[in-house]
Amino acid sequence: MKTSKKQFDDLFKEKLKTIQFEPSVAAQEALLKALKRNKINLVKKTWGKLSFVLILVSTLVYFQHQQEQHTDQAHYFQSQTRVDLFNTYPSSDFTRLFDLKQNNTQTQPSKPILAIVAQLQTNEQVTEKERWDPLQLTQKSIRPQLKSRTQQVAPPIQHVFEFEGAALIESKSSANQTLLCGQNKAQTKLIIAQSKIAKFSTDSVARDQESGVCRPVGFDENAVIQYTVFDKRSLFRRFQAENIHWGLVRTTKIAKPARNAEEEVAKPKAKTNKTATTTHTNAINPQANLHVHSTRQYVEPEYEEYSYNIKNDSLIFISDRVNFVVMMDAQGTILSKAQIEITEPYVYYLGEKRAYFDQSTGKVYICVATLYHFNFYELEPANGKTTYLFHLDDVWPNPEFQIENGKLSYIKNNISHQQLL
Amino acid sequence: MRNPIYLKLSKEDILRIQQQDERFLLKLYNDSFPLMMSVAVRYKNNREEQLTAVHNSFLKMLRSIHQFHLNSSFEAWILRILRNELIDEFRRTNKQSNIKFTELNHDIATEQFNFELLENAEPTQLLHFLNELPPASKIVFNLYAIDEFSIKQISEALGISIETVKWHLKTSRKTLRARISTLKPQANENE
Repeated sequence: MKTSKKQFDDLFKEKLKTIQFEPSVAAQEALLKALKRNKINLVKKTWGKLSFVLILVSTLVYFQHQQEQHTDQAHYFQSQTRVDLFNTYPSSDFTRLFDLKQNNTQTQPSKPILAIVAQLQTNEQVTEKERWDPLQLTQKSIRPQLKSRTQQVAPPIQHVFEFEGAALIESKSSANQTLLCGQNKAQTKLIIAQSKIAKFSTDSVARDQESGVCRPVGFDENAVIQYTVFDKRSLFRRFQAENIHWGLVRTTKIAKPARNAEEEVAKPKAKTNKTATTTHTNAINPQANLHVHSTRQYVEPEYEEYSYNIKNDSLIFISDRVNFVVMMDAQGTILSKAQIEITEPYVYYLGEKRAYFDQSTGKVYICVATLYHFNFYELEPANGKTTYLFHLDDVWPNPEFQIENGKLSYIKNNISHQQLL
Repeated sequence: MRNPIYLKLSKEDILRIQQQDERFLLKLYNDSFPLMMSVAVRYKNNREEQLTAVHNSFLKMLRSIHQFHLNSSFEAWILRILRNELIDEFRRTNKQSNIKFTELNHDIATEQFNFELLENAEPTQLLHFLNELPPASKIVFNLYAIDEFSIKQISEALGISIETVKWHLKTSRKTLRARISTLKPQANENE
């Protein structure tokens, strides 16, 4: 008698064995591909037929070759047939043919077929004008027209992209809004998002990971948003660290940290005994046994926030004190980094500096407060060099400058001013 | 109920396959596909994974076709290759750490199980329930209940202890019974 377990298993087995499957064409193709990939030699039975066809073709070629050889020597049957052909030729061209025969020594009367070919060739001869004129016409008509390539444009993402379900804070976008840079809600992460043409299926939400791809609900099905997430503080530290002059670090001395009492306790005793029994000890001068480290000191660069903006496909980061400029692409590769140089005109005192980004022109301007003026410069982000533009006649606290479409606008003493940059 | 699948191949066919004649290979593939697929669907959830397993074992079979003895069963030989392939893949992908001993709280006791439900159940439904099992339990149940491996053989093949095999068997049976019990009983035609 079957136990309930056995009965269950047997019934289950019987049931499952009734399911039937049919091989699809796609499965067969996949198998054939796998066979080719695995280099399994298959014997195709079509070779027998193919060899028969090859023999047949080669015999035909051989016979044709033989026939061509015999045509060089005009024989009786050949001339008979060719005469018929000769008679059918238009009689009006006989005089021309006769002249041609006399002129052309190569054509022999015993070879009427060659005479006909020569005649045909002479009839087909055309003048230079005849040759080129129709050709030009046909070439003109046939010449293919260049078709403009319909390039797919990635859709804008400024109002679409959300990081962990929330819109980005302090977001800046490129002119076509396909590249976006902003911060998360807690302002700890810097997110760079870029829309790309792609059709693969992916997540709908951007998650907190190093990099990823998402397609928000309702977004274009032919596009995705590729995003990279940076830890803001470590990214700006990286900018800062890369601006340190290495010569300065080499010469600064790093102090040996004082050892704690706890570490002393944690140190195994055996090790201390071992050092005491080394052969290199100097019994006469115990001071000589001490391994003296040169005192070194490492000064960590002060953390500084960076403001950011987007120009074409690259991001421009300018430090808060407008001393450094860094250009980075959307994937985090630093394209250039430079110290902002303000040299001309010579100014005895440089006060607060501010950077302004003109979204419409993509240019970066710097305003520097001096003792008597506000000086305006145009910055080259790639090398940090500045070009002096002009200065305002006065200097006042908390100015509110705005730069748009190459125009500087500000309010002073309740009067609005505008000036072309 | 449909008949179970059997592979019918003559010795001449097998000799042709040993010569790797492309036409006979495709014939063999078409003949053996239902049989292999019926096994692969029990072990793999994904259609692509099922096809990959079938193709891989088919390629293995072609590579070692010269080792096949004409007097033995070709069907059993193919299925052994396929099962070994599936077990190897399980051992490659599912390490010991992946086998989780999760307690299942099903109230359906063994005595209460209604076998009529199982008899009336659709095979595809049962396959669906089987695919819902955790990978380790699924392979153990497949090997024991359907492919008729002994518990010792399973423990050796999968590299797990006999107790673990028994636990998986018990758990999978329990889960399957619980899932089958959720099916509605078919209404009596006379009523």
